[in-house]
Amino acid sequence: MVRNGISASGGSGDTPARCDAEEIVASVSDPDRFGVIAERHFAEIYRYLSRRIGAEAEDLASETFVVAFRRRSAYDASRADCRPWLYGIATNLLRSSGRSELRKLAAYRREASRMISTKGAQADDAAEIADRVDAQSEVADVAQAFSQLDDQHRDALYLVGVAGLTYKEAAEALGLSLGTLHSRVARARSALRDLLQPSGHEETARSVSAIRDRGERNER
Amino acid sequence: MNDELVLLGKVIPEGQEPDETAWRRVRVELATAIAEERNMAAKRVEPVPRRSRGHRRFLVRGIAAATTSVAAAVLVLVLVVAPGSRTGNQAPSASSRAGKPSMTWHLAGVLRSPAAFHPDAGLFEPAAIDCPAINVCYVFMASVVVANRNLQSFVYVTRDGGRTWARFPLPTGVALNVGGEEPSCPTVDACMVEADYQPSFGPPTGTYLLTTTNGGKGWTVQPMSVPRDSNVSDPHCFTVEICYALGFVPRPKGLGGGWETAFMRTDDWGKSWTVQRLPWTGTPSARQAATFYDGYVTFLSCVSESRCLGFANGIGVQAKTDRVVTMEWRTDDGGRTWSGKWISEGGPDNLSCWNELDCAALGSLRNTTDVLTTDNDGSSWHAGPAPKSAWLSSMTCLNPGVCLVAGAVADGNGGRVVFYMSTDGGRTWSGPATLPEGPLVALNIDCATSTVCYAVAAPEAPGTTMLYSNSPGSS
Repeated sequence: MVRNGISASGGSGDTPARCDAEEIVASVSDPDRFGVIAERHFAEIYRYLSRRIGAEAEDLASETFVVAFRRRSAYDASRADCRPWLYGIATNLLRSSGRSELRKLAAYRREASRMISTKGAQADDAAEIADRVDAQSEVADVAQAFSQLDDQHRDALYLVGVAGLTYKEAAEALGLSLGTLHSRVARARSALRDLLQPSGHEETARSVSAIRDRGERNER
Repeated sequence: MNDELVLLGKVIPEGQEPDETAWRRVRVELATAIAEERNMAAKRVEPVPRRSRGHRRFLVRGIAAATTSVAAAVLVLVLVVAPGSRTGNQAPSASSRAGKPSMTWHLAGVLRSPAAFHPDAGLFEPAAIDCPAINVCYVFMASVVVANRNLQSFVYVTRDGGRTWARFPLPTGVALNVGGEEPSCPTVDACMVEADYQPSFGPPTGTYLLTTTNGGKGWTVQPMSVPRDSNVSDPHCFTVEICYALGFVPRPKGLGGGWETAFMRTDDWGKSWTVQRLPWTGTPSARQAATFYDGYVTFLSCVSESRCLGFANGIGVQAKTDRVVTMEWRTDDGGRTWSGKWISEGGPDNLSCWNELDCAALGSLRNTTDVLTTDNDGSSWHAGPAPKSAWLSSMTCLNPGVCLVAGAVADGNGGRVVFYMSTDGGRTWSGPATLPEGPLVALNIDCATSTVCYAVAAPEAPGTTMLYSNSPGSS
């Protein structure tokens, strides 16, 4: 199963839904077996954190597995797939570490803005310019709006919308009831819509107008 | 936009794959954790350094008193600051890092001093202790009246686990309060303690800091630059620059008078302090604020210079019963901003976090004594049974989840100290253990590591203070 380009299964060929819990339970008496969990899921957790905080992901990704190892005796063995558990630990570490993902979101926004002007200036066709500007402007706007959500809502939306967890898995990860998670995601989506509607179209329109003007000047 | 989630997935680029360094790091750190768990510290792989400092926690108000029904004597127990690991200190020996903490306490040294009795309070005064490294402890004796009605205090320093001691006088006029000050020694040579300063016997002239950076040989007395009439609790230092303290500051005029909790921070070893008020109006909702009276933050646990978790207990004045209600406060930016969250009806007596996720608190929830634990950074708390004792004092926890609870039982002779230990973050307990001699009227504990703790205690006869340790290496 592939979610957002992330393989949900590890390299062992096992199905995590059947074997994660077994490995974790077994590792309580045989700690070495916990290494399987790291080999299986480290890359996914690392990718998740690198999306959120970039190069600083290494610190938290390794710490996630150390914390998980120390808490493995409390793992709920009825939850066969341990990924929600690991996402939850990683998300909590992210929150408590003081590392801010806002810088990363700002970088996405800057990159999108840069691409608007670069691609716009390079394109010849006005319609192509408009399409590209629309797309990149939307990226910038979404990154901007996403950064304005509070941590709780951003976490919920990230796990569901970006990491690709199901609502049930995201609820497990964040220690929330399914209803609360649903509510948080809904509120976050609503807030995103609100944040995007007034400014997004205006900014896009301004950007398109500016680049079209440049294109017309070049043609003259 | 039709679907925000789809758009979001497109906006945020794919994450990077871990490189070889990242893979090596997680494998090494996991191998280290496994080795530690197997008590193979002597052979363990050295971890990749992750932080420049260890996790720290401190208890701001760690003093309580209990009256035994038999002797009607006040038994004062104080559980002092207990950092989980310390930097700038000598490294723990392999043997001390290995294994679980011992529940056997032995006499490690005896201090003879006239300072065990406070003439004003009429109570035996506990000596204050801080142990910044396995064999290094500072013991601050209570003040005594000397010539010309001046106050005099002494600090005793051992660097060999209590076998030998050096005694240094504190500046004349320094008053260590009844109940014991809680010193904080971020390195083996540097300590800070807050005290009243009375150059001549009389009312205190303000809040002062005593600091040393040369192992106690010399001390600097400086006024603490906090708002007038502030009441400051013991500072806790992460380094010889950065320290925190909690205190009460007068509420601004127009808000009905009274006091507010304030969080204070210095970045220059006490020379200047920033004061961040924590008004009780910051409760999550107006309804809760209306029922939350005197919700002062009195327990604080910091696992890093930026992140602290605190508890504020108050009385629900509009509730049908005067139940204690509790708020959890937290900061992730070194105290500049705080957020509050209603956690329960309860009344935790203290709070101790030993990493970013795990904390425990000893307290009352639903009218029973419980240990509250969280393994998700305070998002939710679980109440479990506390160790049984006639009366439980304070609890301190250190990485990797070793918790020590001190308590007291009445024995017909003034009370006896008991300890309980948990190695799973407060979920299960072993004990009780007792000190070899008793009864003792004052006790103060500090742990250099999760396996090496010291206790100072005084028998009823003044003049002798004893140091106990649970480390087999110190005797």
